[in-house]
Amino acid sequence: MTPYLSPSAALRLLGLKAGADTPAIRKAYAAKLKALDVDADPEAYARLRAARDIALRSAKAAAAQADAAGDAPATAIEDDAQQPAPEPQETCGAWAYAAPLLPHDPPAQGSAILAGSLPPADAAPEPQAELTAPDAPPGAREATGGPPVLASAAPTDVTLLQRPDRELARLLHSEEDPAPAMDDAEEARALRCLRMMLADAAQADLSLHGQIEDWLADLLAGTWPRSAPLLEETAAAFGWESERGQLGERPSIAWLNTRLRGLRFQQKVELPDHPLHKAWVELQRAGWSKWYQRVGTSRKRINELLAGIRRHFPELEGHLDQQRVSSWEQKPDYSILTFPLRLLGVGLILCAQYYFSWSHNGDRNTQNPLLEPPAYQAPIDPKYNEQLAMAVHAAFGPDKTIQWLREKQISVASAFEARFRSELSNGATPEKATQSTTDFIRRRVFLNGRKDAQLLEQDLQLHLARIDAVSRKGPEACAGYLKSLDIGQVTLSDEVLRKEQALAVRMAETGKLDTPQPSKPTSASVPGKLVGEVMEATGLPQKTVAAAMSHKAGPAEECAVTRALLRATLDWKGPERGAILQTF
Amino acid sequence: MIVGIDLGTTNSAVAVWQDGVPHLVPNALGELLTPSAISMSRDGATLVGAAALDRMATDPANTAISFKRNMGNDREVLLARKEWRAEDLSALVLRSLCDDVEAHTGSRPTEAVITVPAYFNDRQRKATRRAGELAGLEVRRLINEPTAAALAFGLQDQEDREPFLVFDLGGGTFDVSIVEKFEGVVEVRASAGDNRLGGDDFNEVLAALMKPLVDPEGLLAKLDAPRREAMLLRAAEAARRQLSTADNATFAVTIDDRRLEAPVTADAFERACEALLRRLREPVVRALRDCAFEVSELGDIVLVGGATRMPVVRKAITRMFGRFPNSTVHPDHAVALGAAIQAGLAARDAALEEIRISDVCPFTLGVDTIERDQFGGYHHGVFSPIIDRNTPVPISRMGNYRTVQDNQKEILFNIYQGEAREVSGNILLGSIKVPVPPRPAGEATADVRFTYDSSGLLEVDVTVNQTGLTRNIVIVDEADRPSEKEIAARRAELAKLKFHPREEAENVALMARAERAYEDFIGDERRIVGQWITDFAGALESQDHRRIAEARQVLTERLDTIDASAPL
Repeated sequence: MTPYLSPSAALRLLGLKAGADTPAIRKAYAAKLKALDVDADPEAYARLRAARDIALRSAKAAAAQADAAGDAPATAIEDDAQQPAPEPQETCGAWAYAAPLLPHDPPAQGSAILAGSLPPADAAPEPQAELTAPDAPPGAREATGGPPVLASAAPTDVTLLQRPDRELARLLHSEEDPAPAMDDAEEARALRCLRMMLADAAQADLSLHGQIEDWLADLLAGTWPRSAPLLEETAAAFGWESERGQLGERPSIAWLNTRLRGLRFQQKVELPDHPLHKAWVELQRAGWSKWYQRVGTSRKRINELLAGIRRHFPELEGHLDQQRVSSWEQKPDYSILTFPLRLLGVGLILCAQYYFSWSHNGDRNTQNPLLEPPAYQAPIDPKYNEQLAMAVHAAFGPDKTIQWLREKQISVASAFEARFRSELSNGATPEKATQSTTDFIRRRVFLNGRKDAQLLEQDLQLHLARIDAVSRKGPEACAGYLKSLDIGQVTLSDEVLRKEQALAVRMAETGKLDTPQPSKPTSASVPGKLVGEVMEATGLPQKTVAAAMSHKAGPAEECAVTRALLRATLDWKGPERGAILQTF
Repeated sequence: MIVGIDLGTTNSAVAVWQDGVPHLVPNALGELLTPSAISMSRDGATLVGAAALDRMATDPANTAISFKRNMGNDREVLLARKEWRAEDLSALVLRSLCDDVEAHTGSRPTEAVITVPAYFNDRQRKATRRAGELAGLEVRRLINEPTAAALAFGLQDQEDREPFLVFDLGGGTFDVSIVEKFEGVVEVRASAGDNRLGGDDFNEVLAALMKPLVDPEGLLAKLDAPRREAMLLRAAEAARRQLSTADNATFAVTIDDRRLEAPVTADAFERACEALLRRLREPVVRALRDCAFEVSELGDIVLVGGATRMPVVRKAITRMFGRFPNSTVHPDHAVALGAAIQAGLAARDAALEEIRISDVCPFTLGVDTIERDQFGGYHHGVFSPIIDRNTPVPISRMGNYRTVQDNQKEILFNIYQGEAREVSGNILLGSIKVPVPPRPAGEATADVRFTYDSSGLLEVDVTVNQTGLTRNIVIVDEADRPSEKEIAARRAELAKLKFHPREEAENVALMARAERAYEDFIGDERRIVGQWITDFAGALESQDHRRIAEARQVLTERLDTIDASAPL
């Protein structure tokens, strides 16, 4: 780290005596620097830099002190250095909007009005007096030409025209506590003031621009949440969001950026089609939630919303009803219900289950208790069993039921049903959930099937058929299939589907649909004859084919080569056939 | 001999330090700037510079420009059925510049100082260094472009200068540096930039603005994408040039036998670029804030880079600083001249005995860490800076880190560059793993030392305090650097390319220009240009030097006339 030096030690390091002035320090520094090979000794260089900076700073402070002691009029810069906290009016003197924030503060002294932004004739007397106030810095700014927005403003609106800053501050500060939101008229007026100031800022030099930016940041933060409608536009004009998450993010900007993101989320969640909209509305209702009110709202969504808000937009929690939130936050705790009512509720649930289990041919008699949904979850769709049956049909053929699968391989049946249910509860349609369970069975069939010498042939024929089908969607889809074994949106022909189902049934009946063991990468040497056939079929040079076989080529090449090689191997009767097929 | 090279997005230039002053070296066409363009023609010959740029009109699919924007990433362009990385193409430009120096001074340069945008990250710097190596140059140092310009500006006289600001808006990158000069020391106080902002972006804005106006019938949509883009960008470049001197310009494209035209005013252009102009402000503010200067404390505002010629940009600068910028240095030459001064410094030239330059590291460098919050939760990927941005270089700094788990076996340090608090927003430069002795969490500690040298290359040392074990990586030499063998193989690949002999350079460039003109005109004019091309080709076939020289002069004059009258 940079070494700390006392001012006297710094001067000693530079070879100077106490009281050396700025030019002497620079001269000594330059001489020392030229004697040093900085690349060879970075530490010495860092020490020298530090000594120079410390010496310069203390020399500057000493000069300022001497000036002050000698009662000489201090120059602006030295004055700054000497006074710990300069009055804001002094540093902001050049700014048109230098007035303090609060409307009841006395008019700012020494503030000049931006020459360009003043309509010459119809100015009110008071600001004119300010303009000619003796302590206004004369000619502090060059006129940059009137901002165009002023020309279009209504000429009668004198206060707004002359001091949009004051008008804005007046609009945003409210006597009431908590401050109400601005009404439409106020908001329109405030936006107009803001735009005038933003237009001025766009025309301004960097220091004025910075002052307007800081002033607006303070104002918006100080009058939050009344200032919320102005934030988006201001942030865009000053590019505040590009600072978000940066090491040097200014605290006031960081504060506003968090609010801006919260505001955006709030706008989105208030739209009825947002997935968390129901939860949002529910949590805004006043008072404790009654147990029957909870039925329409999913607890998962509520938890998701609360977790999200607390993690990303903590300030939004103020929009929610505290009582409501805590009533939802209690673990499924029915303390608000009396004991007899609770008993009745449990009884009802039991009855309902009893009823369902009878009315559906006792399908659920052997169900795994672990997979039973907890009692407080949303009731199961009455069509659930029907949908589940459809999913089983899709994976194993129309004559098979979940009951059959349970008998054959209970672990597969549980996993199948758990997957189906979790898809549904995540908002998937029954069709989508069916697709997911079918893919699941398909993957197990493929991975387990290729480890079994008897099934290998049939398994890989189907694999090839699937590759052929997805390849019609282009190489990307094919590469995706080879990676994840998901066929995605591709529909397979009926014949392929039937064969898949038959194989799945065969494997289920012999208990071969267990969780696939991770297989070690296998390798096999591919005879030149097959390589030749692949090259011919794909039209790729040998180098590319070899690269694709060791998974080092692009997705398109790999797909084409895999396909051609699989086809060629299946048609071939050589001794290494089995070994090669194992590698797919 | 050491040369200074400005390897630009749009133009490149080379300068040598001779007799105590930097000199720019003209290319085979006698020009000081060589466009950074490469074209590989159907007959297998490779064109560099103005000739290649003209072929952007006739054969855009086999021509590459602005490739500096892809420096350090894996994007490749397809020219003449081969893939080329940005560094390969840059190497071709560098080699052509070396040829120029050899022709001019009689000896071939072996070492070079190459300029890079100050805000180029470590990967982009590495790629630039490799480009130099591919061109057969030893890169003695990489110097930041605004720093080079500051040298050229600061060493115009012996006077001390109050802090000045170098505003470097090139074809593809934007840099700002605040520099002081006293007692022969040129000291960069702070640099900031945006390596995705440049003159090219203004062209794109103009092309996007004019595309619907110039082509209401959608004729352009029928062309293939590279040709359409090239056509629109060329028209935008031409219109932008007109707008540098006039308030109105014509945006015109020629498709087959139709000329499409639409007028554009300076005001409309300015409105369209507002977002770009706003992006100019942020790096300036950041640099000022980092070195704690007020705008009023700045002396000159020095403009560098071709894009600062645009009136819209000048207007924005004047507005930002409340004063007119200084344009005493040539915006296109200053960087190369500064690089030559640095070359003189590197060669320890006597004339530069009393000059020292000190630069800063313009971005923050650090490692990723895991933080534990008050609830006991872990937050992964928190950036822990070791070298803060705008620290003077060379610099060596150390940070101390400890284990988060009991009996942790090793610590993995990922080294990042950037300004975001979470490392996911920063650029990963490399990783280093050290084994630590089994201890309760927090008791095994490691010191990480970052050393950043004057060329902007980073070295990292990690020492485990309990065992004294040290690991070291020089980021530039780590895994992703191709081996010597690979570099040699790629150099051989580049050497296979055919080039026209130097004495033919003028003829080749003129022919490319004539073909470009043929493409730009329609009707009678096109027929006439076609006739000129035939005439010139006839002269070339005769192989009679005198006849060729005459024909060349005639064709040059003719093209000058027709280009001056053209709307493009």
